[in-house]
Amino acid sequence: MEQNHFLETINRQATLAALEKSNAYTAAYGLQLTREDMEVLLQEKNNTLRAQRRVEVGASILPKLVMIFSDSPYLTQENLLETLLRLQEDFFLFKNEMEDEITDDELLQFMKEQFDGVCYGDLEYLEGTCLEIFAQAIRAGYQDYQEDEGSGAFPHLDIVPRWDRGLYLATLEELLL
Amino acid sequence: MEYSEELLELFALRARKYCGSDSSSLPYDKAQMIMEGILYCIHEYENSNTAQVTNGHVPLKELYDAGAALVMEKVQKTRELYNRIIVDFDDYQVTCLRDTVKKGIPEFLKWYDFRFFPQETILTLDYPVFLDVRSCSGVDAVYRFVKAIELEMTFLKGFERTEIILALQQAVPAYRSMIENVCEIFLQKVIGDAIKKERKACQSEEDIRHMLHFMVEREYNGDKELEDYLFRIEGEIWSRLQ
Repeated sequence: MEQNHFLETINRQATLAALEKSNAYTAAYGLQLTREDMEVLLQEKNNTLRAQRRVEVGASILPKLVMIFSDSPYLTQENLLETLLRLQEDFFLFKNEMEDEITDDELLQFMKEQFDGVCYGDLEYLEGTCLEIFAQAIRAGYQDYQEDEGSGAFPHLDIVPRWDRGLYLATLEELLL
Repeated sequence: MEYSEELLELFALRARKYCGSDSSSLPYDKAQMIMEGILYCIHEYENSNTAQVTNGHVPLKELYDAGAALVMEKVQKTRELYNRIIVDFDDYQVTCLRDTVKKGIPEFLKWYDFRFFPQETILTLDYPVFLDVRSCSGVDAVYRFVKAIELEMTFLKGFERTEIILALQQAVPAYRSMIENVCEIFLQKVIGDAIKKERKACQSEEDIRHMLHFMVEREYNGDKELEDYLFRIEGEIWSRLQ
């Protein structure tokens, strides 16, 4: 799509500058993106946008994504680029899956909370369970998440049993028998 | 294309406005709709009487803004026209006419998004009229439709309600559920009566046009718009008779 290339070009410099700035913020958590990492992130973002048939028109979501996830205990300098690539791919994929019913901030808030919470940094669990269930709920008209901008929404929708005392004892009993 | 870069800049501006602070991206189909909305406004300006021929380059944003203002004006004109005709609107017991005018048009005026999607007609405008509403879209189509209804009501009000309903009943026994033009059926009766009455004077299409012209002169103060509209219907009837 011709217009996509044009918009990519006008966004590029602004996004790179914002990513440079976000480095100053993420340094507090020992995380740094190299210029090369930024280029990879930008390139992959454009690929994802094309694959998801979306156009980015405002300020890029990338710097925001970096800033929000930078204080995650599951993000290390080693897995930083790989994780950010997956997160931005998930972001655009689920923006479509949720039929644009959710704002960028709400979706990022939800992703961050689950990534640090029930997912314990597991991206597959975030994509395959949390975001999938949340997207289904949103498509079905669920709106309660709006009150807290995506925060605290998942426990209301979670269908997976957690390791509470009852479940622990039941599983132990099963194993012993 | 001279304007292509300007057009994309304008698109980016409109798309950002559409997304607001909620989203930094939007799907292709929505983006396409926003682009169509921009082109709709530009065409609105180009097709208007206010469009000026200039030799120099006019920024596309200016053309768009002028077109968007014209769209807004037309929405207001449509609303005023609708409010004027609805006061003594009669559906002559035809459900399709009633639903399109009494239910459809208010819904259009309620939901029409002239800021971002002015090209959307929203309605299917099922009741057939004799102004071309299919070749245009958005408020252009709806304005033409309401205008046609105004002209039809003006014509039909010149006759007895019972006479019209009787003519409908004779032409289409299930006239209440028909999707046909009331004016066309009734005008056919008027023309038929005239042919029966004055055989010699009504032998060609020209004769019938004369007859309609005198009727409009006499009964409708020579309303030129109405005359043109009736000629359109008559043309349809005549070609069918031939």
